[in-house]
Amino acid sequence: MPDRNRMSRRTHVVAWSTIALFVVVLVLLSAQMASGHDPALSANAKRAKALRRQAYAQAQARAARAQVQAQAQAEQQAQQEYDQGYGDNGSGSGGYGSPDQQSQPQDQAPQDAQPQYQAPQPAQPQYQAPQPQYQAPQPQQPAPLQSTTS
Amino acid sequence: MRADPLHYGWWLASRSAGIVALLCVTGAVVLGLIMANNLPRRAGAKARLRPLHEAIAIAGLVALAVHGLTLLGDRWLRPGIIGIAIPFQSHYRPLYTGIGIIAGYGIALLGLSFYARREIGAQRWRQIHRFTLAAYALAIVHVLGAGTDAGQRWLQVVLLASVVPVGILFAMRMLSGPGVGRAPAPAPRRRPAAPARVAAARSVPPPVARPRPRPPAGARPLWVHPDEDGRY
Repeated sequence: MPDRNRMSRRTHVVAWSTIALFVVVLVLLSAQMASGHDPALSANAKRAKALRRQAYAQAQARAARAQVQAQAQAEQQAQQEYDQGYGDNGSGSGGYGSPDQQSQPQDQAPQDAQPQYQAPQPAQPQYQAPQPQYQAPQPQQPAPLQSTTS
Repeated sequence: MRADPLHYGWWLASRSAGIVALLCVTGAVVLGLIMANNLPRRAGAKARLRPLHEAIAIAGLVALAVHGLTLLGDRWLRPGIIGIAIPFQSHYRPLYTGIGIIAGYGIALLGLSFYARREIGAQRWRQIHRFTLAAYALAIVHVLGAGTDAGQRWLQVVLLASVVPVGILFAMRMLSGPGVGRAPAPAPRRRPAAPARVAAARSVPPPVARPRPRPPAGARPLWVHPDEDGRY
């Protein structure tokens, strides 16, 4: 009978210890989450941040490409206009053609070719190398010799 | 990122129950290995450890059930009955979750087989029960692969504190040989040889039916109640 009592008591101790352990771990995990250190949630936040950063970089690259393309197209168009002006005045009287032709270009660049996003211009380096303060001493001219003989 | 723990109550409960289940299973495995290694040398110590081993194992099984069932309430994971009951069907890290489900089934079956050891046979049950270690190893893999807190230093310390004693005791068990921890088998009762048996049977006289002793005259029989005046 005492053995049975002892076993029952031991079983109760194990059961209550398990419940207490569960509560303690639950409280610790809740505190970790409330303090913003939950590993899963912070991993999600990091992932979202990385995705946002990646999307921003992609948009920036797309805008830069579009800008380069538009610039090239504009240069090409200007070249064409230049060539066309010379072609119309075959007499070689010079100039860029008639004023009408100058004021009304043949083809406009498409509107969508204009980049929506202006890529930031590369910043000028803030750091400037200090100018060397040290100046080498100039060689002094030797004093003219004075004759001591009079 | 700060979050309200009340919004993630089921998830937190499942994580807590998983950690408690891991600790309980570790305790049960350690106690089982201690008994198998015959480490408590004192007489009767093994008999005292056995109910503790059993109680901790049952507590671990309950924690394991809570770990799985509370996941059903999680609004983000939504594993469903199939996700928690059938291995490799969960969409969240299916490999490691499946390993965990297999480990859970293994621990439950191998632990509860204790109550069917009469039907199984003690020797065979002991052989089967050894595979609890394999289920424990699968549980550790599950914690490392699918555990939310697996990257946290504190859980790594807990895992280390769990794996190291089990590893040491298992190595001791492997190095000590198969029959060391077992109680010595009782010496077989030697039957006398056939001629001796015959001679013994002849030497012993057959039992004689003795007459039952009668109670002496005047003695009161025990089965008769006295009258009101005290006579029998």
